Amino acid sequence: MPSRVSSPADIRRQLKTWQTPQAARLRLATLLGVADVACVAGFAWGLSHMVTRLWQHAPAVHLIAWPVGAVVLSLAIRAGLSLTSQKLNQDIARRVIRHIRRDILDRALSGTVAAGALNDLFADTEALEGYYARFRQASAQAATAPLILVALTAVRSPVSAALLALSLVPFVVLMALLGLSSAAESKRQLDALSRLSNLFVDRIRTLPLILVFADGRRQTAAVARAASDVAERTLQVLKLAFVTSAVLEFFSALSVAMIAVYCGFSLLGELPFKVPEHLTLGTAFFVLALSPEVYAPMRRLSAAYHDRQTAVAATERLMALETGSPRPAAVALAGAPAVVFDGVATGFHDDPSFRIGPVSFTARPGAVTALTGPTGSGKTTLLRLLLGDGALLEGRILVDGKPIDDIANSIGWVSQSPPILTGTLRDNLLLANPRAAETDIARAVAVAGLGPLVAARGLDARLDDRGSGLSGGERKRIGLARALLKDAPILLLDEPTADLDAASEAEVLAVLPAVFAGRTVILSSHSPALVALAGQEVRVA
Amino acid sequence: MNFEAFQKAAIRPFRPRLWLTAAMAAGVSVCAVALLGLSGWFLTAAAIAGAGGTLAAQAFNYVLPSAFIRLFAIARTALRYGERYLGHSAALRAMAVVRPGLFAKLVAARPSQSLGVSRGDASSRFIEDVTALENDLVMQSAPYAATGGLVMAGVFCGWATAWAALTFAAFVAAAYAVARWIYGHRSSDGAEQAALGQLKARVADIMAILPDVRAYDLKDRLLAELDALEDRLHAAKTRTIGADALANAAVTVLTGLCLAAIAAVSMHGGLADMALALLAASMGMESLGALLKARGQAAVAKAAKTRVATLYELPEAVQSGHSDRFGGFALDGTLRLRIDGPSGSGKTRLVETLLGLRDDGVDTVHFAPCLQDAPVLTGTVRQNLLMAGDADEDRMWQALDDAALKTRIEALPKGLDTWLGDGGVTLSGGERKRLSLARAYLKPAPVLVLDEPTEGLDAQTEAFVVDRLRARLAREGQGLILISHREAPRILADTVLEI
Repeated sequence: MPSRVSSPADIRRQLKTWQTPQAARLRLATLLGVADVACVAGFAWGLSHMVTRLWQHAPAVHLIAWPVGAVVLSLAIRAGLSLTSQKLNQDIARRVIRHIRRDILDRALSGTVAAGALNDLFADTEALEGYYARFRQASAQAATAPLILVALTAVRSPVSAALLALSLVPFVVLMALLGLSSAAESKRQLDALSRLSNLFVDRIRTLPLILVFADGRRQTAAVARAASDVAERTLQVLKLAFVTSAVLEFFSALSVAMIAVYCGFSLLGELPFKVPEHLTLGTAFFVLALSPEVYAPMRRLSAAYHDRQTAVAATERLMALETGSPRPAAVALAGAPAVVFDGVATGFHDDPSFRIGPVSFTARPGAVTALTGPTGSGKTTLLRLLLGDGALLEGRILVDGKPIDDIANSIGWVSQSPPILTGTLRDNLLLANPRAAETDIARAVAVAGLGPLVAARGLDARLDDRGSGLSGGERKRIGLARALLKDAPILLLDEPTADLDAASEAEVLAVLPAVFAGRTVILSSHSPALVALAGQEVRVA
Repeated sequence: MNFEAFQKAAIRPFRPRLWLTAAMAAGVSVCAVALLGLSGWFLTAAAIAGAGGTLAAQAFNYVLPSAFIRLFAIARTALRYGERYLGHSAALRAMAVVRPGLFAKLVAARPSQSLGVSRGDASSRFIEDVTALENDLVMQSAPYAATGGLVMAGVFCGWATAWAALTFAAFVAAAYAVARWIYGHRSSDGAEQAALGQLKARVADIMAILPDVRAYDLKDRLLAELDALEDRLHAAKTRTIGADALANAAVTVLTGLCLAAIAAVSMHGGLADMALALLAASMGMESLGALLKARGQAAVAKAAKTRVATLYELPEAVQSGHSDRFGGFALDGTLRLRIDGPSGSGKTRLVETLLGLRDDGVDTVHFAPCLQDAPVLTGTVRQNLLMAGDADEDRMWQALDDAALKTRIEALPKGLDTWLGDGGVTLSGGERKRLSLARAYLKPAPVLVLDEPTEGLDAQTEAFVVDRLRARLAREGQGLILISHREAPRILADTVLEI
């Protein structure tokens, strides 16, 4: 279960770590952001020259051709840059997400991340997209573009630059204060949302119970309470966000207004105070055209802020997955071992109130042990523990007297419905032992009773991952043939005769003793005929 | 009622707020355009007046324009806050009605359908998809915001010359048409969701065969297979973002051309008016961006709505027509029936059919069941017991005592209010069984249906539970349908149904 709590600094570091492999693309994205500022300047320059020239001369098209050209070109380049930059940032986000997912799935398939913890894998990884595709770029731009623009302004009109800079100071202070108080609020909101989500998932799980006790009304009321709790808490968080965006709007408008009023009065010659600069219409217009752009990156940042919060919450959950203990080194067993379950209890991740066991038994070397018990009592879950899948909550499992290590390569496994991978029948058998010789395959095919299938369709028959065209019995036999090819000292079989008709069951039962020979076998079954093959029966309640 | 109608009804009380939100959003855009346009006019007019000598400068009325500049700056701030707050509060509260409504429909649906819905699927519809609908509601003000900005820019252009206004209108129409065309041709409606869905489904399949993966070392092979699916998702995502980015780029290019055209048609008029038209037009085209963004998200909301609707519109359960008999047996206090058969023969399935869980409607009248897998609600002990109907504490303790769970619950510091499940006390399999049993005892119904009620109990406790059960049946006048592979409770039955 995800349990470790990560500090905000840890989360920030993790978000940075994930993007490290994309460093080259990130640099390019930053560069595109800076180039965008150059376009803004080109646009302002064109506009101001257009006005100046028309003021100084009689209107004529050739006069304004250059400035108009600059305006059109700047905007066209800007369009190209933003197109490239959006695509690039999206690409970065997708690469990061893929990478994380591959990493987690790799560990899940190695057994170091519990399968049950993967319920939210896709929601959580996809939640990072906005952060890498939008927020990161917006935040990089918000940190640089305003300063570059103020510096550009300063070259033409230091007083205007000072006005812009002055408006930035209280803005930044206010933002920092709002940011601090919103962190706690948004934590509460995320908690409420997660309560609602858990409640809903739980009530779907227990839907049969709710139905048979006709308790829909009470449970709906509980869902309604949790839902309106989420709404009100979200509104509390958002109120702060709205104040933030109003503050942003205010300073953005204020900066334009201050520039307009200062420049206007300066051009009129009516300034009530002395300034150390002489403003021309061209300069005034240039500065005015730049001023809305000073706050534009911060408005984009504020629009993308939600992306960041979503990503932080998701990262916290993903980091909790990270802490699975590393798998011990694989151990190879020499001969059929004794397997001891000593007070073993286990359970499921998606139903924490349920646990299986404790169960104790000893599977003797080279003998057959059958686990029996009603459906849902946990027989399969107990078998899967030996393959390193599932949580050992209590007790211990000893193999040849030692606590269990990674013994997957010493185990042959036949599941209830052996999986078929896309490829040929031969591929599907060889995956149990890629080095098996033709004669080994022929023997396994014969012993597992796959002869008729091979005769009809050949070893090179194509199979798909749904196993189309195979009967349940044929799938079981493919599973048995794999176990034979692997030739492992431990053999686990999960309901090897379930879902088979009487004739197929009899056929499978007939080949099993040959498959069992020389191995420590543990199987689960409801079938009395199969249990009769076992040396001991263990009832799982 | 279909989902469309339900959603409309849920939103109706918030309509006035949403209209006000739209008006305020339009106001924000109007102020932004007016602020920049007026500032440009003011600058240029001031420069002209300033150059005309002291007399002209003194004749220039600067009070009114500069007052308006301040007014627009303040109004923009206030309207922005109002728009954001009202829009979100309406959307959030409307969805706080939609979510329980969705849950209620799920409970009211035919069990044969609703129990087949996967948990992950249901919760992603309930949480993420409803959030998408909420965002869509907030975004509904976007067209008004865009219109406000565009109209204001058009008015300012018209102030300069009618030609400027016409030019602006033509470019806005062109930008809108181009954006529509791009979305029509480039957006991969559904391809992303489909690719993601395939990937999720394959991962779920693979997680189900984890033991095979471990035993036969299939990891690398399966990861390569997943990688191919990731490629498809990546391609679909790139295509969608391509449409968004391309539409925005097209609008930016057209803005440049629009400004050039406005400059050409208005340069013979007043310079200040031309400045007004240019700045207003550039800001006006920017407000078109909000509309495009809303358009981009509309597809997401539409897909979400379709998914939520399929959940909401599951066929409704049939509540009547449950028989008073089961086979040849009357469902009343005299019934003492045991269902027998080897494991795997479908006893539990028969019970589920009897209760109506595999059918069009659950029989809530005749039975008080203790289900085989003994599900426990994540919540308090009390909440679990209250599912059976309102009961006072004395009755609860009595039922717990009869189920041999009283001492265990009494020993818990919070007693009946102890939280069970995630983050609370974990019950063993046998304890879950006994809690289920107590819950069944509390439901007033003619027949108790108990599926393996003493599973996981030691012999002594089992004997106690069976004793109490016998007494209860006599006292409450309840009938019994029993499944048990254990010997002790079997004697309670006088009739056996072999399957």
